Amino acid sequence: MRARYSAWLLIVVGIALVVGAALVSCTPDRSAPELSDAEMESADSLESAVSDEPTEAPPDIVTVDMDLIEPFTDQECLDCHSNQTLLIEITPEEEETESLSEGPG
Amino acid sequence: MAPVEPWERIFIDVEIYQEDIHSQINCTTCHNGTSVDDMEEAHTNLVPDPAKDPVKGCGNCHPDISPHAAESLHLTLEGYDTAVYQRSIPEHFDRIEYMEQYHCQDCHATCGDCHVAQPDSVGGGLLEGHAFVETPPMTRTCTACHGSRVQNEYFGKNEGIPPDVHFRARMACVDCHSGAEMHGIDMDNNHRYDGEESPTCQSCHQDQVGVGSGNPWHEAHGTEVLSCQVCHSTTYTNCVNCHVEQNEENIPFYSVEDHYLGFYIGKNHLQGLERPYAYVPLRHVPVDKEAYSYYGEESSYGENLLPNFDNRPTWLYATPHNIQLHTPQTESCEACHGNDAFFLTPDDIPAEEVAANEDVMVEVAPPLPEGETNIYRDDVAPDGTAPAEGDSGDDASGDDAFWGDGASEDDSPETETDEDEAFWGDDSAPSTEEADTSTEDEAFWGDQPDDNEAEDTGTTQQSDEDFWGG
Repeated sequence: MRARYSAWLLIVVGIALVVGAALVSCTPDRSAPELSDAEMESADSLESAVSDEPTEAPPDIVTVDMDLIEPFTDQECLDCHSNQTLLIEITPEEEETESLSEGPG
Repeated sequence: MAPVEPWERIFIDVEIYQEDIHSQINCTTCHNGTSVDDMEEAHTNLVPDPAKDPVKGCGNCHPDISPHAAESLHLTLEGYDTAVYQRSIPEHFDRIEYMEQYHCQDCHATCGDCHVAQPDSVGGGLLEGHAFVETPPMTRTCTACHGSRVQNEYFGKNEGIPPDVHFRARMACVDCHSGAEMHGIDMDNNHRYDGEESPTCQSCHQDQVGVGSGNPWHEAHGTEVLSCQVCHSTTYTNCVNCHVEQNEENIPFYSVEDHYLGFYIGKNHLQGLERPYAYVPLRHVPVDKEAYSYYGEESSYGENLLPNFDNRPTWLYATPHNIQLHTPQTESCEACHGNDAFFLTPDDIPAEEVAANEDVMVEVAPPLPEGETNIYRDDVAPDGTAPAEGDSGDDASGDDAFWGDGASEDDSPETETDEDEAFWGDDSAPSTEEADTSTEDEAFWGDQPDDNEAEDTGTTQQSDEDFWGG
């Protein structure tokens, strides 16, 4: 009876060791790679470029993807509405009308 | 406010606008129309104010704000409806809506009315050559609409009444009224005083208010008897009535018979968890039983449109924007207790409005409770009757503690610092004395009226410009 249990125990332990070894071998290698001298210099310069003080990010006031905005093509609108001389010329003067209303509201 | 020339209203200042991210968007994307040389064709189907529908006009890029703004009181003016409908009956609502088309549409504030242009009610016109401003300039937007009451009170334009202490400390509207409040974010209110009180004095003066504050006046009244304004605001504008009508050429006009300065403490008809105060200042609002039937049977809008006029007081909960540390009410306990002059009593109310105001008026001013001794504020106290030194929140040190920066009635804004400049922009805010004349830092303050205009708008000038804050 005891010998049968020992055999089963050995088999289970053996299977566990095999599965464990397989999992370990599949784990990605997260160790730091060996760098060449040139790569080390590049990494050093990157590090020195990082400031000690965190920089405040500008407020994210526009949530739209700007790449989706079409290029500006409405130049005629802009040309007219940015032409002060033209606007003064074509905008009708407002007639001063006497207000019918009375009181401060 | 300086008038905007017609051409200026539509002038795009390329130098300024090109720095604005909105300049990357095609004009026609928001305004419709067509970009062609022919003016008539270009303007066909033009949408002058795309922000009239905030979701459609601004929602693509500002989806977190625009749906709220679309439902905000600034845009819907639901507060007006709440007040008017309460005095009317459903059968008249369509006539009232018709009236509102002529008399209220200009008051709707769209996103664009604050962030890119002046409101229609003051003639419109681009603020900064079509560049959008994140913080609207106070005098060209906020007080352009909130002119005859808030502006005159806050800037001290009512004769003999100093500016609000917060104005003297260079605080602008947005220092108390948050963007969330202005845009109605997470608010579901049908009136300005519906829902959570915001802003509150306690937000800044948390340690100086109520029991435990060390101020004997505040200790005595706690936080549920009086609103802060009962003691710390002073004389404000009250309007006798308002009538709206159209003339024979269908041109709408209004007529406010009279207005006057006064201060009236009364019962709080909005008393509840949000506003627990038993007593508040009450302001007579511009309303009248015949407000919409000026010509009687010949009226453009209908006769007797407010049959339930008595359903709502004509003296209403008010938060006057002329806060002072020292007011006539704070001179002594008996300045208020037993003094009918500060209270809304039946004598103050015309007979035809008594029924409407039964819930807010008091028969007589509440007397000083039995056993209590009258004490005086230290600067007006006869010998030995001022609160003991150290107990009073009104002594000099107490002033500093209460107001934070030591502002008192005679204080003018402190000397500029770099921080001030950073806060106010390229120059300091106008001082109390300069506020009505300075043209500096117009980006923030907008165009200030000149001194004469400021004085006129106080209580005498009666014109449209006066109504809208000049």
